[in-house]
Amino acid sequence: MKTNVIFTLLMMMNLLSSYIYAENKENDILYNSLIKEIRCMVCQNQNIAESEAPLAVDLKNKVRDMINEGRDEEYIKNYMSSRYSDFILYDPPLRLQNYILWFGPFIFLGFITYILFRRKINK
Amino acid sequence: MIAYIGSFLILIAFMNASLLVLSKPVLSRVTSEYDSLILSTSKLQFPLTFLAFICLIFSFLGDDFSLRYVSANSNSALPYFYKISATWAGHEGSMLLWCLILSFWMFMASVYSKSLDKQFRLKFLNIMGLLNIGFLAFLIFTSNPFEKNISIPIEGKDLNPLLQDFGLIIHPPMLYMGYVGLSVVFSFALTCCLQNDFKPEWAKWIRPWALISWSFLTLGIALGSWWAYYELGWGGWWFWDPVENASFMPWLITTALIHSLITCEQKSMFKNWTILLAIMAFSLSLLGTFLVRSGILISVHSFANDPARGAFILLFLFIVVGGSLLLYLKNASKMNDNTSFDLFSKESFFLINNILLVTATFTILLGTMYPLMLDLFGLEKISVGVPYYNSVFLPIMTPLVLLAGYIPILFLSKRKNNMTKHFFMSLIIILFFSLGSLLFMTQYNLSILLGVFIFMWITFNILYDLVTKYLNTKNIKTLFSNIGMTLAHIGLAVFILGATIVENNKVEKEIILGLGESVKVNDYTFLFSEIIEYDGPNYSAIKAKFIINSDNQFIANLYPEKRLYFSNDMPMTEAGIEPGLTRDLYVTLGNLISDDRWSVRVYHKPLVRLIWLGALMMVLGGILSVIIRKKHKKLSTQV
Repeated sequence: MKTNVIFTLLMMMNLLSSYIYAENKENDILYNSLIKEIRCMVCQNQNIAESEAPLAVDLKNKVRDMINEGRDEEYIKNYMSSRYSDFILYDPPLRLQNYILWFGPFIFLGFITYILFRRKINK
Repeated sequence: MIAYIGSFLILIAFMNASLLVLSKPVLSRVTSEYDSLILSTSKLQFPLTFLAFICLIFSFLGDDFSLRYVSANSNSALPYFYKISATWAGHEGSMLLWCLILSFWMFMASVYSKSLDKQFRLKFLNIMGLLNIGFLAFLIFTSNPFEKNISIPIEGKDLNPLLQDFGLIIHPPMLYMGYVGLSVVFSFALTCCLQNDFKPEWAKWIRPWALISWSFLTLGIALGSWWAYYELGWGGWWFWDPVENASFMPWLITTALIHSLITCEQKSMFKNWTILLAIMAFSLSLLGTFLVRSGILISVHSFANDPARGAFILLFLFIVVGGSLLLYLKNASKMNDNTSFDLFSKESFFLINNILLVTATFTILLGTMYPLMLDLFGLEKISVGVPYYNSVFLPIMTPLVLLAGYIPILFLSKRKNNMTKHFFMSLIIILFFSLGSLLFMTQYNLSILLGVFIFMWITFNILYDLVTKYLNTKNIKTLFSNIGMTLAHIGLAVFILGATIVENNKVEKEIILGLGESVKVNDYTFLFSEIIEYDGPNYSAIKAKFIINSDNQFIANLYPEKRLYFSNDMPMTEAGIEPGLTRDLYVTLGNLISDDRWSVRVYHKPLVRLIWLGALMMVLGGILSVIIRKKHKKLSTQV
């Protein structure tokens, strides 16, 4: 059984060959926040920070590489969504089909305030 | 044999609940004694379901793999306490647990409702009986835990390794106690609709039930969060996962409910609004169950899925929610209160509290359902997560928590110029202290300042309020009757402080380490000293030893693990955590890179424990409010 564990872990080894680590603290923070905003496409509702699926490890390396190349957050997010669709980002883009999602709560707030406060306040 | 008894008991329980519901329409023509039948059947339901549950536990302990549910969720190598907890680890068993808790709450409602008007009480228990029938029907027709295997396997599969854990033994029962406790509040609200009235003394009667359910929900959610933190291995404590959202929505609505019930009780205001909140709270619990059990969402929680179950729950949801809303719309207008109030009044601010909580709930509902809706209409799929909630949910919650610290000082004085004086005085003092406290931090920004300010604002004002109330009355009872409320609000403040600091000041490092190498995180040095292999009862594991020092002072040894369960191909991660009130040190072992070189994640999490400490204070506050209320009532009747 022990050899089995090591074997399984070794199988994952080659996927990690491109691991290069950023020493810069700001890059570290950006990396850590970005990998939590990218969805692991082959898992059950996990981000790539959580997941150890091969695809997630690959994507983490890709994010690391792009940060080390000096790419900014927006570039990396665009890169991800253009390859894997918007589904990969936990941050839904602000465009027509998502307007209700982004503005709905504020419209709801105005609406419910009006309903509940109407005729209730002493003038 | 035990399984047959269990099956039989479920059927008897179903018939018992049917008898409860049918006794009035059938017997009222013949005799007027039907009420004692309602009262006894509503109590009998609990022992029946409880025995059925015990039968299932014994089937697990006895490794009865002739049952499909047992063979799918347990095996003979499983330690006995996990065999017991496996009883509610899968879909069928957790539905039986749900029915058990529902019957428990009906028992409690039946025992403690003597003070209610007789007709009201019978209608109320009738509605609870209907809910029991609904869930038992679901259990019997789609999810029977006592169903037999066609051929009996020699060995069972295993309990999902993620669920082999202490946190997961107690998380579901606590959460269900909360979810299902809301059924009492819901049935009560519907009875009020039937009676076309909602009297202040009814609000007083139902509030402890709402508070207890709220406390259990808080505990259940906090346990889930704590489990995710130490078990999932990347140090997060809240994920905005649809399943978490499903439990958070009823929590928010119940929070609104326990506030608006105060106004109902004291001023006889917001009656139909409060009824609507009570209906929504339980409806959202049901919606949560639907989302989790139907297989629409895929996550650790949604076990094996079956479309028949989804269809049944959807239909049930439709009948219960649709029916109660229709009843509400038909009768609520008769409960209308045309009273009005000042903009600067307790009523007004409680209404703002309610509006913000309901809007926050709506936001989460939208965030959870929107991706499903887009998918349904064939539009491009999206994911909604942390960035969305940070930019929409937090701006709605911020004024709410500021308000929580504002209400107490607002009413210290009736005179308006004194009110402004109190306000500016505490504002300046607290701002001064929050700015001062930043001097002690290595790193700060605007959100940290806001978090610290809110912590002090709530704590200071709520304590100030308590002390002033005491000084005004010079009566020790004032302290007791307010201690629960005070503790719960300080718990909220403590939670906010913890969440803000850990999210802004945490340090996370993901690096490759060889044996004998070390990494420094803030003042802590993590030395990777050893790799140990060992065998557990139903898994093999690799364990790393990390020696942690700070300024050459030994702190702790941590042992993060990677486990391979015999029943599962994916390796599981067990984090090594050194907990502390001021900080957690957290190490997880990643993958083997080359000979003796491993990828490792090392976290420093300042004040992360305050998140659960705050939640526990809220739980304790809720429970104290209920207990002391009771005591207080007894005292006043004795005098």
